[in-house]
Parts: sequence; C-alpha cells; structure tokens
Amino acid sequence: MMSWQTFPHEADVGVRGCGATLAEAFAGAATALTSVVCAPAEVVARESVAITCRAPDRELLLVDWLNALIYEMATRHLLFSRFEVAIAGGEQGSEQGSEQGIGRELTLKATVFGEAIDVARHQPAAEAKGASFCELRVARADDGSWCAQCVVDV
Amino acid sequence: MDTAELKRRSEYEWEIPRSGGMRVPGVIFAAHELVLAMDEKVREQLQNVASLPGIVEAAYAMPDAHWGYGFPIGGVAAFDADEGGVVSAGGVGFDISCGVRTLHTGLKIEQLQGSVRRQLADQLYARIPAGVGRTGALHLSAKAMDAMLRGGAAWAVGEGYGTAADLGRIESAGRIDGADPDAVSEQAKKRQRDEMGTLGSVSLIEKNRVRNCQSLR
Repeated sequence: MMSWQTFPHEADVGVRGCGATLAEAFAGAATALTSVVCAPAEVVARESVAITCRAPDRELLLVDWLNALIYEMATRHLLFSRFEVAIAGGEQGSEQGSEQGIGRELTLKATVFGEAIDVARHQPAAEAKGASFCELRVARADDGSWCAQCVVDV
Repeated sequence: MDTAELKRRSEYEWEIPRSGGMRVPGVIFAAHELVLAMDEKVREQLQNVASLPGIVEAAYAMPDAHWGYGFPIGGVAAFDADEGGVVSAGGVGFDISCGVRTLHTGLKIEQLQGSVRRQLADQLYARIPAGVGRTGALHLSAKAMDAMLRGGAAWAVGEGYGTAADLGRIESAGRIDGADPDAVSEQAKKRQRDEMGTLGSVSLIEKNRVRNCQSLR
C-alpha cells in the first residue's frame, strides 16, 4: 500500500513515499512532491508524460526521478497526481543486493498523469525547484517494504 | 540556539569553540536575540563546515543564518587549495541566482498611511510577476537567450530594462567576463524561458522603513 507524506526542514520541505515495492515508494515520493504545490486530490489526470531515468544507485535514482518531474512541471506548467512507475536493474528488491543497489545501473520508466496548472483552482503554495541530497535515503524496512525520501528546494 | 556553549567575542560575534573534528572554530555574527532564535541545526552545520579540509580561519554564519543542506544558509567559508581545500557545489543550497535588492522609493512613512499602503501592495502584486504559474512579458528567442546570458545586466540595460547607473550598483556590473551560453544545457534554457522577467516563484517583496543607517567601520 503506497503512502506519502512531507516532513519539515526549516528552509525547505522533505518528501517521503513508502510502499510494498521500490516503485511504489518512488510513486509516493512523487505524490508528496505534488503536495508541496497543492493538494494532489485536486489534480485531475487528464494528460500523460513519459519519463525515463537511469542512475547507478537507488538514492541517485530518486533524486533524478524527482528532478525529472520538477523539470516537466516547470516547462510544461503541469501538475501530476498519478504515477505509474517501473524500476528495473540494480538487483533492486533482492536481499542479496548491496545496501545502495550498486552493481547494476537502475532504470526507471514511468508514465505520469496530470493537468495544466490552474492558479485559481489549484492555489499553488510553492514551487519545487530541485531535489537535493539532504536527508536523502532509500531503504527497505524489516517487513520488506520500501521508503524513499529527500529534501526538495522550494 | 543555546548560547551557554558559545564564547562571546564581542556584542555581535559569537564563537563555537573547536571540538571533535573541527579544524577551525565557528563564528556567528548576530545580536543575542538572533542567536537565541537560530535553529540548533545552524550550530551542527557550522561545525560540519569547520571540519572540512583546507578551511581558513573559521566557518562563519551571517545574522540571517538558518538550516540549509550542507552549510547553513547564510554560511561563509574560504578554503585554501594548497591545503587540500574543498570545492562545495551545494555550499549554500542551489539558489545561485538568489539575491537581495533594495529599491529606495524616496517616500516618507507619513506618505504611506491608511489605505495607500494596501493600494501600494496591490499594485506591486499586479505589476510584478511573481509566484507559481505566473509568467513575464519577456519571451526570448534562443539567440536572444544566449545574448542575455553573455551580456548579463548590461544586456538588460541595452534592452531598456534599466539605466546605466544601475550597473554601477551591481557586483561586477552584473556580468562575468567569459560567460559561455554554450555551457548551459538546452534543458536549463528551456526552464528559464517562461521565468524571464519574473521575480520567481518564492520571492518576497517587502516594504521596509529605514530608520537609520550604521557603518561598522
């Protein structure tokens, strides 16, 4: 079950997603990213954008993923509310995989759904400008679930 | 921040003495009330900066210092390359275009009483594009974008968005010799395109009254 939340940082804001799989956790972090701007429930999934990212480990992949979303939000003036994410490579999910998933490049392929920003309806509170390495963590809990988090610059 | 563990060097200068891996002390420039209001993370981050290789003299924090990523925002440090000094891309965050500009209106406080104050705020909001989803009136072609990146503030003055006198009040006259637009990715230029001529998404416009000016020298 995917869940998301933001967490406090004095100057900026942290985003965190958790789920049964790494892909779910990344989708949750993306939903939390939208929540920095407006309530994700207010964003209608009218159009879609395809995103592909590659990185040598899970944490760099999370930063690249969030930055790719921020870029699409900024240049297309879109907000996203639904994220179909698939992650392959890097021995992800494997108990034998190294702590950071290092060993094989990870590839994330996603289709994200949303709509053009409507200032009156969405009441944007802030703009996410970039994902940072601050509080960056992608980890698997004892129950096998995943959480992915970092602080984003707003 | 608790000042009990700080050494007060003077009225506005507070030292975090060396401890642990710190190569130099930390120094905070601020009034007592400002230090008390600072987050403990400022101390922690300043101690981390003070531990970096090659740091010279001290890790400094300005009066507005607050919790950043690696450095505190408002942190200042110099590193000696010959002493193994580091280069930190994320030293004070990533808002490298961030700046503060004071525009002197020449108005007296008496002229801004009552409803005029509100009207001024509304006019500033209406005339200055700022905030998410707002775009400016300036839309540059790829060629004009490169000219802007090369020419900096002088380019803006040339386009009629300022006066030559403005350049004298900007560091390096708002331009860096050797600026190379080809070194900026197409992605970054695309992202900049709609933000041209705006104040950005999280900027603040404050109306402040100047009571007096002091020089520390």
